[in-house]
Amino acid sequence: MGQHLPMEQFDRNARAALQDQQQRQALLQATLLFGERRRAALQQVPEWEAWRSHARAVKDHTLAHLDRYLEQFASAAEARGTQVHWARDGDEACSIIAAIARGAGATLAVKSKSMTTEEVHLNDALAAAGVEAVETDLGEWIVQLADEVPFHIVVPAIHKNRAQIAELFAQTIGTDRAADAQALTAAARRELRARFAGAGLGISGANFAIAETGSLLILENEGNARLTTSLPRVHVALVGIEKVIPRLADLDVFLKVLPRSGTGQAITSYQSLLTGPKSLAGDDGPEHLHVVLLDNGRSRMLAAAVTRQALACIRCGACLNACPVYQQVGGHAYGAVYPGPIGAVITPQLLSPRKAHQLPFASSLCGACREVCPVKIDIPALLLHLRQQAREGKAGQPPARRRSAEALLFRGFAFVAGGRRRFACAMGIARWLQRLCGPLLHRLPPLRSWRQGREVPRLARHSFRARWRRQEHRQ
Amino acid sequence: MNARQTILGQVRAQLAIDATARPELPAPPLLGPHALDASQRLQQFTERLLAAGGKVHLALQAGQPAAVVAGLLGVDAGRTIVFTAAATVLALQCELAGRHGGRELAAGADRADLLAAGAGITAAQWGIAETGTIVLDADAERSRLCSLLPPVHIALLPVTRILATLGEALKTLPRPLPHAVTLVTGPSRTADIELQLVVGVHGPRELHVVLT
Repeated sequence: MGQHLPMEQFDRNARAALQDQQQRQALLQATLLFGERRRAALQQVPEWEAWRSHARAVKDHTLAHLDRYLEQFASAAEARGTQVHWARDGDEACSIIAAIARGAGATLAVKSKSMTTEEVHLNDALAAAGVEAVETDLGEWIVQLADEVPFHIVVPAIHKNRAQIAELFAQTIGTDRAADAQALTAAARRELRARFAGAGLGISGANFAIAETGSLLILENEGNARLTTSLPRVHVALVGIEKVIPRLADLDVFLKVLPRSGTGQAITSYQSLLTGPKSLAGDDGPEHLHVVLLDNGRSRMLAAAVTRQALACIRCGACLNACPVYQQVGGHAYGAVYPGPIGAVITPQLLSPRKAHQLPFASSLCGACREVCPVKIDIPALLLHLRQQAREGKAGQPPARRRSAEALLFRGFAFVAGGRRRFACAMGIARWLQRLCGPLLHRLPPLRSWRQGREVPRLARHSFRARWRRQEHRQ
Repeated sequence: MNARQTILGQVRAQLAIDATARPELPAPPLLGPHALDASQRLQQFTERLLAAGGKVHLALQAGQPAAVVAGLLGVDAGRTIVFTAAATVLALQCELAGRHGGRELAAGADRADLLAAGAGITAAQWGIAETGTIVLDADAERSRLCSLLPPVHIALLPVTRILATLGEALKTLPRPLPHAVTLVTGPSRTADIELQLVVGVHGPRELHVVLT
């Protein structure tokens, strides 16, 4: 499986991404188009704000009573013959699913799109256990054939153009290099039908897990999730514990806000509501249904209201499309499974707090992500919270970076700006230095890195105070 | 401690840190347009399914559904047609037997036949006007693949079964829930290559809803 770029080097990854003109063009086109489609879809619904508030209220309630709803989901699902497993972390989830594959005697597994399986690196774990896992979402399959990682959580291969995909298919499955999108899609259908027919295990995620009925709900447009969950004899779904919602009726609002935010559709082509394995031997559907409930750091985020809200995310991708940083650098620069604004918030908390320290800084705090979020997550507030943590160390831990040059600089600034005379004196020196050797100073640290993307303001020849004094003298 | 106890214990411990933030569950509101009469529901259902790329055929008189379906199948004659076990589909199959020359199969057809079929005929248990959606109940159909594997999906839907909203449909579903309920709005689609819309990627490229 493809490797992520090192996330601790976001700045370097981002600079490299900015050099890739083809990728930038494809990315900008895609994110702007998705933004437009979303806006067009919202124009049809005057109730949009009420829907957002309602969706968030349902999530807030569920998260505040998550233990209760998880238990309710597990017993309702078990009552319908679903086998429920619990995984504390990614490794545990992988070994549970590998054991299920062994039990099913499967050497080939088909997968429908699931970011949670990406999060735990399931494909690698299955390969190590001797099971080939084939992605069946067209975009995910393209990414898998290219040995890369998804670029976007909804449209994984938007960074590739038709010619690149045609070349990739020509090399891997032998299609014509001149094939258009239609022909490439048809080739993928043929190729993947054979995999579906031969797979002993279907692996999916789930968009929602309904506590009341023990059901899973999966949204999609292609039909590969329907195939994954109905053709193989065994189906296993990996579900984050934050995906639970209380009642079947609560689906209504989420089925309204999710597709509109993600792709600008009023509804996706297919929703599968799955409750247990098939009940009659002759019917279609899996004989065994397993659900693996994954924690992997999620429960840690429940403690404070500010971090808890990130668990309300329904993975629509709207914040990626709206983010001016994502629009320029794209998904790979973040070096993380979840890119963009929500990724910059989730990754440090969920996966790797040490390595992801740069990600909360990969934002201009413009607030576009908060504006478009269908569950009203205050992403800028979370980014600020995480920036503070990255600088000061977590509460109760010794501050990690107190003695850094940056901290010293800011303490110096605080001292200088703390008194009027000190400030006037410092400004006088700065004015003199800037006139004398400004261009040289701009090329030295720390101004050099600060100047990337910013203009250093020119200090006025005379300060306002000085001009005011002179004015008074003249009168 | 097993994983279940660890996770639930951790959830409880973290939630206890700020026990004040325990908001109530809001009652599910009836979202979207509800006060529609039968003809408005039919009109909205038709418009929205067309917009999603599906086709709608009116066949309200006795005998009409078979004629409409025969017409749709005529285009691709010779290929196998698969049927589900829903009562209205079985009746249609009998009516069609005389008209259509191709091989016809009932539910329980084996995988190879399903994969080779040119069209799948199913019933739909409900329609949703709000989104132009049909609802397939796997217990009533005894099939999930008939509507999925063939390139053409034809569904018979009684016009009286068109509900106004998604919320109403969720309330109307039988309890206990069937093992699979599938909501279908238009053909299978993708835009994963240069955002260009292509239909029929993994599922049917054509969806015909015959209103009876």
